[in-house]
Amino acid sequence: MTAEAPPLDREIRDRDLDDAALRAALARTWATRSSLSGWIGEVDHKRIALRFVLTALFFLLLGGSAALVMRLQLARPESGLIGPDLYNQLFSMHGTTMMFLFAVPVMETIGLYFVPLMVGARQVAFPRLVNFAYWMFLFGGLMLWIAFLLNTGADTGWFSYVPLSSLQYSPTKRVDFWAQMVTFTEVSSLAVAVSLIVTVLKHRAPGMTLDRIPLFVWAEFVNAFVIMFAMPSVMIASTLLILDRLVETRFFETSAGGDALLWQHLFWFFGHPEVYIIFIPGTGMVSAIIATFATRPVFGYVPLVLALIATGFLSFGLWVHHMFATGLPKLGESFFTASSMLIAVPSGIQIFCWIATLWGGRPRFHTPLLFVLGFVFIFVAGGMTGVMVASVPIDLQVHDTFFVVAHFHYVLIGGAVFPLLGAIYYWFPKVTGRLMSERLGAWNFGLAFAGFNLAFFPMHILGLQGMPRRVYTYPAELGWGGLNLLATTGALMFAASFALLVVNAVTSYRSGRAAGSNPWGAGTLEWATASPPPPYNFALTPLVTSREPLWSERTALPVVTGLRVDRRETFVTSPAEARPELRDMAVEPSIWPFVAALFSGLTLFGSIYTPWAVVAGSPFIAAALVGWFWPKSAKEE
Amino acid sequence: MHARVPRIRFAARAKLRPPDPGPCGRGNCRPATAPLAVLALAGCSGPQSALDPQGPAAERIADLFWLFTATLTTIWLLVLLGLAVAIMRARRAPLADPLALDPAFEARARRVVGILVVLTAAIVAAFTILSYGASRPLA
Ligand code: HEM
Repeated sequence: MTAEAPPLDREIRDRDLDDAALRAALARTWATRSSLSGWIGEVDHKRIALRFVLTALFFLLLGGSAALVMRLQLARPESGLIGPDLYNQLFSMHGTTMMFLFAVPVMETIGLYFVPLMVGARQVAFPRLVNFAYWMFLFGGLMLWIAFLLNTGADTGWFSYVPLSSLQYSPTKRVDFWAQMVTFTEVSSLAVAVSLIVTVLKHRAPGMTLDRIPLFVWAEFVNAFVIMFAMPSVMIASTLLILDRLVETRFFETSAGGDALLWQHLFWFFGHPEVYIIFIPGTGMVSAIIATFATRPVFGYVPLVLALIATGFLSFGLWVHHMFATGLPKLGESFFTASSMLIAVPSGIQIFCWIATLWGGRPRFHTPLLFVLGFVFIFVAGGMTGVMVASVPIDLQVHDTFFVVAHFHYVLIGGAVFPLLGAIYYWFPKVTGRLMSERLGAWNFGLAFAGFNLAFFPMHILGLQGMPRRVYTYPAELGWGGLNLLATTGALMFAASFALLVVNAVTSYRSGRAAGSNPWGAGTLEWATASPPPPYNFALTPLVTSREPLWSERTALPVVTGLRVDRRETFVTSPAEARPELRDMAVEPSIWPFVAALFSGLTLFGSIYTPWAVVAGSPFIAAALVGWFWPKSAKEE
Repeated sequence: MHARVPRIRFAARAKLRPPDPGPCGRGNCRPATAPLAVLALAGCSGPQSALDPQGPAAERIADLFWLFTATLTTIWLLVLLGLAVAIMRARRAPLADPLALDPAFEARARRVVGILVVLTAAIVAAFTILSYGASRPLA
C-alpha cells in the first residue's frame, strides 16, 4: 500500500484537518498518559533518550568523582589519603563506569533522541525494546555502584584480566558484580542498536535516499552495527567468567586445559571496537556542528561516509595491539601494527574534510564550535600518541605506564567528551526550547580545555619516566611529585568546568532566551519542528529533496500526507530510496518491558550468589515476555 | 659488557609498591645529582625511565621514539596551523545562501585533501616498516 492510498470509511487523515485541529488530534493520539504506568511504560523515544542521557551524565559524575579522589591521592608522593584496596576499587569503578555506564550509552542515546528527528520519523522502531533497554541499563549501573558502597566494588580494572579475576585470586563477589553489570549494559546497548538500525533503514522520511542521510545519522548507524558485532564477544567473555567462578567451569584456567589469553582475546575483540563505539558518534556530532556553524554543507560527504564505514570495519582488526606485551610472532605483531596505523587514514580524511569545511565556510564562533576546535586539538594529539603505541617496540616501553593513561584520555575525552559537550550546547535549545548562556559557555570551554591539558599532558612525561598505571602511590625519591601535583590541579579545573556546565544548564533551563525552532539557522530536519518537539515529532511528514532540507527549501518544506491521526500511524519506507511502502502502527505504552527488565535484573543479580537463580527466574521472565508479546486484537491493514 | 635489553614492566597491582628503591638504587647516579635530575622537568634519567637507554637495543628504541615524536609533533602542529589558517582565512559575511558554494574552492580543496590523505598513508606505512625493523619479538 502506498502513502497515498484512498482513505477508508470514517478515518481521520492528516490532510483532512487544518493545522490547529491536526496538532490537537495528534497530541491526543500520541500523548503519554500521565500516570505511573504511563511513566514506566514510556514509548516516546525522546523521553526515554533523555532519561538515558541524564542517567549516563549522573554516572559521569560518579566516575568523575572517583577520578578526583584518585588524583588527590596521587597529588603527593606517599600520600595516605586512601589505601591500596580502595585505590584498586576506584580505578576499576572509574574505568568501568566511564566506558560502560557513561560513554557508550550517552553517545548512543543522543542518537536515540536525534536520529528519528533527523530522518523525519515520528517514532523509533521497537520503542518498547528501547524502554526495556533503559531499565536494564539503570538496574545494572545502580547494582554496580550500590555494591561499591557496600565495599564490593570492582577491583580488577576495567578489563578484569584472568587469572587475577578468577576465583582463586579474587575470592569475594567483587568480580561477579562487575561481570554481571557488563551483561546488563551490553543487553541494553544491543537493544538500542537494533532499534536505531531499523529506524534508519525503514523509517526515514520519504525522499531521504541514502545519499541524503545526515552525517550524524550515518555515524549512529555505522556505530549501531559496530555495537551489534562487538558486544556479543564481551557478553560471552563475562558469561564464561561467571561460569568459571560460579559453577567451576575451567574456560580460563590453564591447569585444567583452559586458556588465560582467551579472556584477553574475547575482551579486546570487543574492547577495541568499544573505543570506536564511543568515538564514531562523536564524529557525527562534529560534522553536524561544523556544518551549522561554518554555514555550509560539510566538505566531502562521500569520503566522510566511507571513512565512517572504514573505521567501523577496521576497528575489528586492531584488538591485538592491546596484547603486544603477551608475546606474539613477529609477523602477527606487524600485521596488527599495520592495521593499527591504518586507522589513522580514515581519521585523517575526516580531520582534513572538517578543516576544509571551515576554510570554505563562514564560521560563527558559538560555544559548540569552540568545543569542536578543542576536539581537533586534543583528539589529533591523542591520535599521534596512538600511532606511537601502535609501534610494538615503543609500546613495550610504555605499556602499563601513565603514558597510556594520557593517550587514552586524549582520545576518549578529545574524541567523545568534547564533541559531547559541543552537542549539549548545540541541541540544548532543541530539547528544552531555551538557549544556553554563551558567556558561561565560553568560560566552560576555556576551563575544560585548559584543565584537561594541564591534567593529562604531564601524564605522558610521567609515563616515560616510568610511572606505572594503577599504583596507589609512589616514593618521593622517584621525582614524580611535581608533575603529579600539576595533573591533579588540572583535574580539579576540569571538574570545575563541569560544575559550570551544570550551572549553565540549570539557569538556562529556567530562564534562558527562548530558542524558537531553528536558533542556529541549521539545515537538518530536527530543526524543522518545534523546540521542544511534540510527542509526534512532525505534524506532517516532510518530503526530503536534498541533504539540507532547511537550506534548500527556504520558505516551506514539502510534505507527504495520508497518515491517520486517530491512531499512531507512521510511514515505513524502503531502505535505499526511502520510497513509502506502508503505513504502520506505532505501539502504545506498556509496562511489560519494565516487568521483563525487573525480572531479568533480579535473575542476573541472584545468579551472582547461586546458579539456581537462573532456574527460579526464568519462568518469571518468560511470563513477562508472554505478557509483552500477547497479541492485541488490532485491525491489521 | 652485557647489553641491557629494554625493560618491560608488567602490570603492577596497586598493592605492590614500585619495585625499585629509587634513582640511585643501581649506583648509576650519585646522591648529589639526584635533586638535579628531579629539577630537570623532563626527568629523562633514572632506572624507570624509557628515555634513559642503557644498551644498544634500548638505544634503538629510544631513537625510534624520538623519530616518532619529532615527526608526529610536526604533523600535529601542521594540522593545528591548517585549522588556524582555515578559521582566519574564512569569509565573514554571514547571511549568504549556505548552499552557494564556490566551485573553484571545492576543486582546490579536493586536490589538497587528496594529497594529504596519500601523505598520511605514506607516513604510517613508513612507520610500520621502521617498527618492524626495531622490534624484537618476545615469542
Ligand atoms: C574527569 C576527568 C578524568 C580524570 C581526572 C581521569 C583520571 C583517571 C585516572 C587518575 C585514572 C587511573 C590511573 C591509574 O592509576 O591507572 C584513570 C583511568 C581510566 N580512565 Fe579516566 N579520568 C577522567 C575521565 C575519563 C573519561 C571521560 C573516560 C572515558 C570515557 C575515562 C576512562 C578511563 C579508563 C578506561 C581508565 C582505566 C581504568 C583501569 O585502569 O582499569 N576517564 N582516569
